[in-house]
Amino acid sequence: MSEPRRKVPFLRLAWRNAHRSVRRTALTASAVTVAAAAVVFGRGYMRGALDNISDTFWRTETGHVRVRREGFTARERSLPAYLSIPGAVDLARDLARLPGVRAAVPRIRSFALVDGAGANRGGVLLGLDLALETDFWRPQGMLVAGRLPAQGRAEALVGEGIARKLGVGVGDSLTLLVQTSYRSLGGLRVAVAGLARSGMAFLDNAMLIVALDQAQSMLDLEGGATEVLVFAEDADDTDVVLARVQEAVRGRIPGGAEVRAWWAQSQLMRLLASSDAMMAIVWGLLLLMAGLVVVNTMLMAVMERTREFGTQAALGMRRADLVRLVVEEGAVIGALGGVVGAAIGSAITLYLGVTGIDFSAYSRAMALPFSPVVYPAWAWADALGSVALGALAAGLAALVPGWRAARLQPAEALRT
Amino acid sequence: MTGTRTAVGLAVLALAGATAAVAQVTAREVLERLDANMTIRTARMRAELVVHYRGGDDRTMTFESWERGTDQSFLEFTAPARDAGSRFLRLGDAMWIYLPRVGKSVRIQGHMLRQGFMGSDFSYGDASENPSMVDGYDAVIERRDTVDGRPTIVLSLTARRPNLSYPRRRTWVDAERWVPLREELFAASGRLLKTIALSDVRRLADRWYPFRIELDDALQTETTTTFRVLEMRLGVAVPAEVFTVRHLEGGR
Amino acid sequence: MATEPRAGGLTARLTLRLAWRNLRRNRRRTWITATTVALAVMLLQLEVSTIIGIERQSMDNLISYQTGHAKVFAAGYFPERDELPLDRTVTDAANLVRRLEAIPGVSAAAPRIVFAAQLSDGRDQVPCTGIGIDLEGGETDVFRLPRAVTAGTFLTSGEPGLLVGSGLAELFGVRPGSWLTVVAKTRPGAYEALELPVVGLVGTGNPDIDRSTFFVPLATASRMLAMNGGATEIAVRFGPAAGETATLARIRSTLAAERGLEVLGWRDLERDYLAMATAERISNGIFLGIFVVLAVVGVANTVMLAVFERTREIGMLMALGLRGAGVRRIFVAEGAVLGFLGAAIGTALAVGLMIPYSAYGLNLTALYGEIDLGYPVKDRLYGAIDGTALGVVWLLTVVLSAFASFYPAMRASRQRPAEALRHV
Repeated sequence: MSEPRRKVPFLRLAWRNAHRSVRRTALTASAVTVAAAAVVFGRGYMRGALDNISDTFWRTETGHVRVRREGFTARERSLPAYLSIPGAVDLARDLARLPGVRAAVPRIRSFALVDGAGANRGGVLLGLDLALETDFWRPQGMLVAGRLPAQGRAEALVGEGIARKLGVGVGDSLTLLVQTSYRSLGGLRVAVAGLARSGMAFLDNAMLIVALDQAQSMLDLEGGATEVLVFAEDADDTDVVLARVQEAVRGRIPGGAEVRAWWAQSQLMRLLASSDAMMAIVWGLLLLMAGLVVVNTMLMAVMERTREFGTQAALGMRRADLVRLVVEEGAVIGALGGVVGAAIGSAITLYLGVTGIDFSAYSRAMALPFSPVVYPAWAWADALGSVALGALAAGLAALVPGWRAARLQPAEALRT
Repeated sequence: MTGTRTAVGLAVLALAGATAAVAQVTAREVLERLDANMTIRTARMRAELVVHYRGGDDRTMTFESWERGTDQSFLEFTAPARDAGSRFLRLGDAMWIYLPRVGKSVRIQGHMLRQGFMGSDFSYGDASENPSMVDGYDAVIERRDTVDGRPTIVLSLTARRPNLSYPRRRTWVDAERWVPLREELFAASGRLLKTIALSDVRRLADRWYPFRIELDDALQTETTTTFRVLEMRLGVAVPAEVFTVRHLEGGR
Repeated sequence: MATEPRAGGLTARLTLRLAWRNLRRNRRRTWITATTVALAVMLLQLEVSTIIGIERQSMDNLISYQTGHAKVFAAGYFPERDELPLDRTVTDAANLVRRLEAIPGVSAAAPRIVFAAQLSDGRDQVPCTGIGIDLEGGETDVFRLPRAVTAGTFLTSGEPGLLVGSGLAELFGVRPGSWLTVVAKTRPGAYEALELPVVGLVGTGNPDIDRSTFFVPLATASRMLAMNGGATEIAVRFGPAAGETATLARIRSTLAAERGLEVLGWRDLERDYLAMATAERISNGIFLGIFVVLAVVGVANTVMLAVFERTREIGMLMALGLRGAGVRRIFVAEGAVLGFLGAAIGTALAVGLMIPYSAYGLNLTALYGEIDLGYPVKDRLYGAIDGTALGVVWLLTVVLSAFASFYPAMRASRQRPAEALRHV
């Protein structure tokens, strides 16, 4: 005998059921909460760690867009000053005025023979605009002894490793010999103003940081530099900035310019590409685990109510409706739990995103190019996603017990 | 008739005898004469060093030098302005460089010895070697040849000591003037490393001297170097204090 | 119950038996929870295995391509090693190699000649480092260079040839079959130059090698540089079971009589590497932490549900004299046993996957393309089966599960028996 289909107010029922046993609901929801919080924080941390790496790369190596003279990179092994950019300082000033550009930083990189206290070694000379570079290269963060070189003075910040090899300390003098932009011999006698530790062995064993003007005069590069790093306001706009820089640089560098975006620096591109894949894998793993916890809890919570379902079935509720009821109840709990979890996870992520997670206590010298503090980066997509997925996971998890309950004969169910 | 023939015959004989006399000069003698001609007791020189780059640029520098024997030399660059005042001192096989903007001398050693002198094809290591041929090398006359219209004796040289940079050399020595006109420098395996062409030979006091030297590194085509003597005076008095590090750093 | 009751009337053994029996009563719930924990533990074990695998692989690369387990130098060479001097050499290398190989713990020793050289193709000349390797002796037993050949073939004994780092080859644009001239100064100081064919290219993943090193047969280098039977270093590999410190000590004592020699272990040879490894560990710790939290929540939830469900039963037990502490113990024990079970299954599953993982590895290039991180890891990722790690994760799961059960257990023990009995 078929009855007219009653309209079952599923959502209201689901809501009411959820409220009936607050403890059980809370328990199930708590599983989703923890999972959601873990996912939000996990993604935020991962993003922060990756941002850290790419940020350091941009600041120290490539900028968002790097301008060099044509041929310099091909001969990068010898850092030839004769392939430098004359007028780089003016060029940098003009590039900084382009829309979307945050800053343009001229830098000099060259090999130098370093002579000190009788021993001599090959080193890498880095000429920096010390005022500008407090935001970029950040030499102040590497200082372990003494102080930074002052603009206009023949002083150097020397990597710890090479200072040790040369047997010099703060206050001692070093003689630097370089091949100038005319392929002639140049040099300078500098005082060791301070010692630096970047954490990167290849830098600490070779680097000598001097003020840009000192390097310029040593290399016969008045107003020039070997490269200009352009930083965009927003890293995501690099492609637009790249086009603008290419246009602005046209004709200004003898022999042609080499303008490259950071992703064309194959090393960095590969690193980030691998990180995307890694992020996806971790995302998947976290979801899988979170989902398992939710399924587990849901299964148990719902299976205990077999009797209750049996009652409802006995009262005439159709099987399909019963399943739907259970699933929606699961979804509601999941959504609730997800909201709470996303909120907690977001709170933690946002808080740590400001204070940062400081690893420097645990690793004195990290050779990977990232600074010792990681700032988790919160994204609303993560929070929203985890709520949605919490509801989805819980709802799906409820399917199994729902089916089972629906299949039971009412009499059996009532007996349990 | 017979008289003329005899005369010619005698002349031919005489010539043959003379040639034979020349042919009988030993390789060692050639070297000795070469050394005698090329080694100076004291000298002052003004010269030009030009480095030619593969891309087409040239870089020209001028310097003044003081030499004493084979062991001591002092060099100061006078042009262009950015190189002016750069100085080099060689004492035996030790070399120092002084740049006015550095203000302190640096001893050239280790890896730097392999680098070219002021970026030229002539390495610091090359410059610091004792140039005496007869002490360093055993010689064999390979053949005769003509270079720039001059009759030359081609010597094949083998180093007598294992620590000489170029274990084998081939030198074309002007048979009359005892000036090297061409040199090829080889590694121990016989692989050609450098080629030197000497020309513009002029009479200088009691000897002949090449006023133009072109150097080519056989292993790279990036650079070639030309060295031109602008002015040279031999036998001048050169005070010993010139060849000191103090002088290197302190100036005249 | 034969023994004196303790802590609310329960001994440890009894607690465990009760816990086990309780878990068996509700099989379905137990298995579901155990499965969740198992899967979580499995993922965790695999992640730890990967991390250890990476560590081991980069360590292995370091040892297999650069440092060996230890190196013997002439006294005074190591501080000057950047200058690549040929005047501080280990004389009579062959003899020393034999003596070293006789030391227990040492599986092979090989001499190497490391020298400064220029490579030239006639157009350009590039300064680089040459390494003469002993093809007739222990080179392939100490080092694993043949593994790194990316094009062409490895060097053959008796045939002079060049094995060029891939970065260096790229600079010249040469492939196997091309010829290059090697120029170097002999030990006494004369120039020597050899034209040699490039027989193969190597890519070790370490840019120091790939971008500026080439390899030649030891005999070629020795003759070229007039080394007279000497070598710049002798590299040593230890046997797989040999203890590092012990073997190093034995080598040092064997060579103690020779004043002119110095022995350095690989950790001294590559200090910077170790710093990097530590940093990686810490960075990964955070992730593992999240996984652990998730895994344990499953257990906590289960125990909590159990508490809710058995409220009446708890009331009865308490009415019968079981004290709060005893109640707590039972639930904590249940949680611990759940954790143990789940960890057991998870670890077993993980080990099952680790066996092919550690043997065949995971092909990274499929995922990432070629990586040049300046970090010696190549294109296949191998998992590591480390007993200690497996055990630690297992134990940690048990402990944390017990811990997570504490709160539900507390709640259970705080109930008033009368109320509990009234619960439906």
